Amino acid sequence: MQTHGLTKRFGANVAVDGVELQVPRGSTFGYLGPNGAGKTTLMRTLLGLTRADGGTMSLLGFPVPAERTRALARVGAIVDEPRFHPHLTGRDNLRLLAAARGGDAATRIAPSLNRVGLADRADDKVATYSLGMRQRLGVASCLLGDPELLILDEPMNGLDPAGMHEMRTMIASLAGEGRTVVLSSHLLDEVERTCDAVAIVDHGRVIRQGPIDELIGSAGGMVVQVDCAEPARAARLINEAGIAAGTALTGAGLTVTSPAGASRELVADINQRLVGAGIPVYDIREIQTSLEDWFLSMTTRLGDPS
Amino acid sequence: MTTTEPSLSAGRSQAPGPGRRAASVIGAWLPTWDLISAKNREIRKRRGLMITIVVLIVAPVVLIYGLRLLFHVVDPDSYGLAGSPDIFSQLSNLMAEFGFIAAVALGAAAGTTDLSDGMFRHLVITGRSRLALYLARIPAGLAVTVPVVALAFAMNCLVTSYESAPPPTSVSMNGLTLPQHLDRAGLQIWLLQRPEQAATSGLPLGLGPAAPTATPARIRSAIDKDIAGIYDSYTADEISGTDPADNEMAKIGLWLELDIGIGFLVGLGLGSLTGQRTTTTITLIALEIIVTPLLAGVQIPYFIDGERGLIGVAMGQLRPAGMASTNSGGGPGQLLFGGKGALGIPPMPTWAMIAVIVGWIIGWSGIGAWRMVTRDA
Repeated sequence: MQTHGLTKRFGANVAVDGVELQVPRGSTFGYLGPNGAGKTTLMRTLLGLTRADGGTMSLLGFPVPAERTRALARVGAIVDEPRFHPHLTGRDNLRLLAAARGGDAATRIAPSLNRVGLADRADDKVATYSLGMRQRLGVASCLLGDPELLILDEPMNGLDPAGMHEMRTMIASLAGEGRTVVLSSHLLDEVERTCDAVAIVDHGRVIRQGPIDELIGSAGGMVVQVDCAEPARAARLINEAGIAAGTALTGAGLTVTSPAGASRELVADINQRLVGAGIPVYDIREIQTSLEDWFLSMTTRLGDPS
Repeated sequence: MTTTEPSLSAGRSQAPGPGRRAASVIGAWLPTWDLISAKNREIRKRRGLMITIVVLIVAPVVLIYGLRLLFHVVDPDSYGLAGSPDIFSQLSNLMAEFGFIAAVALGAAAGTTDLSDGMFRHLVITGRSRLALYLARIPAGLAVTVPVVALAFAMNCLVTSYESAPPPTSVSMNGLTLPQHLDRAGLQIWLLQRPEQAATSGLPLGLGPAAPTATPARIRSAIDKDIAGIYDSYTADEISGTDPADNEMAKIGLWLELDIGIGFLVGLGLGSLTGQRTTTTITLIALEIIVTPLLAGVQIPYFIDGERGLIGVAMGQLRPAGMASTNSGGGPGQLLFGGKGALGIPPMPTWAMIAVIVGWIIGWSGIGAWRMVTRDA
């Protein structure tokens, strides 16, 4: 999936602002951003649900919208909360979508329902389904086309913890079959657990994108938490040694921020210097920077109202 | 949730080849049979809507004939046979009015519920041509209205054919008892031979209060002058007093199917345009039962062609003669809204009727399809 300078405006509001995206085939890609950042609009534009105002895009190598039909033949997508005809059963809704897809989509109805665990409720009206069941029915509808590319908009929305776990497992299994999965979310933890690469979007613009490990690694130096006696003296000692970019006293002791490019040897070095100076060290550990930490540092949602 | 089901992935093609083949089919603008039947199933499973359609189209026929049959069985001296040409005509007109409303409701539902139920987005994402998605709704909806109308009309025809009084042997018109099957010349000769009867009857000869004392020559002159109008009345009375012939029934059946089919298509088009089911239904019901009768009953100077542009007016002028009731004085080229023959607008040429009808069908279908293709999903 590729976009170049993709733009979508609603009046004066630019919902998608010159987005450049590259999603490698076979990857699980997260499109991450706060509410109102333009995630759903980007997906709607990609799928031809609304027209782009500028830029180019392609799905599975087919330019969209010029060859949208060919592209969508192997794309499955859920955009926004999945809703269906409530007076029809889950199976009948899939029959309608399979008839629209054509080909052998109808033969995939039963396997799709089995796969998402809805076989037992397939002949119940959708009006009786919970949100989680409708999400699963949405995934089943995606599978009717045996998709190479799955685009899932906020697939965890409204799910309880068990449902989120099931959905995560489902996404992992779909990705494990070689399908490309693109999911949008504002749930950082879920994206970190599910995806191997992300794009961060805010105010319609992609701020950064790449593999999660690389992005977090590039966010800044390592942070080391030290629980010791005399933390103030320990901080002074470390600062004087010039091995840290900064220190801070916290309720838990001392936090040391390493200079850029420092290795884990810094942890051992700090420990050695403190013990050598007669300061007892009770605990020392590297603090993992999470995607959430990195995301918050990147986006303007917190701290920077502009 | 089971995640180890193998049947989906087992045969999965990694190459885009099959996608290309499938795309060539789903990109086509003509809907497939599968799509039409799936959409038809979706419509049929709207229980409330189906009940409304049956209540509006079939129930009046069942109820009225059921009661008339019952009354006749219980008290045959006071109540005649259930069927009669007049009842046939009135029920056919009732079917036209109620059927149009039912069809509008069905069309509005077919044009809006994919949107309101959130299915439109799913359908568009399949890659299927939006035009095909729209066109599939037409046969899917007509497959509901056509058999329901046919059922109700068949009941009407059966009762009229097998449960009505023997046809009269004469035609009763303005107090005169005339032989049947006269042509215009025959009617003229019959009247000219009986000038006194003609003068004292209610025939509109323009003789005024002096009619009873008018000379035979003056009466004959008035008959010669007004024979065209008199013959029209004779024809209408003859038709309304006898059971419609089989071919006339067939014409009425086709007219009803056309009228109700147009209601569906207009509802579908307007529903697709607005995306609002209630607004669409109310607007078209108002057009059918308020605006059209009002405009059809009054000739507005400089706006006759505008009035003729209404689908109800054009269809009214195309209404078969057998739908004219005894009291309405209707017939070909006459308007029968409200069952009393709204004759405010002069007859329009056949080509104009057809142009208006075709224009409404193609125009609203085109507008609905255009909106379907351009609408954000």
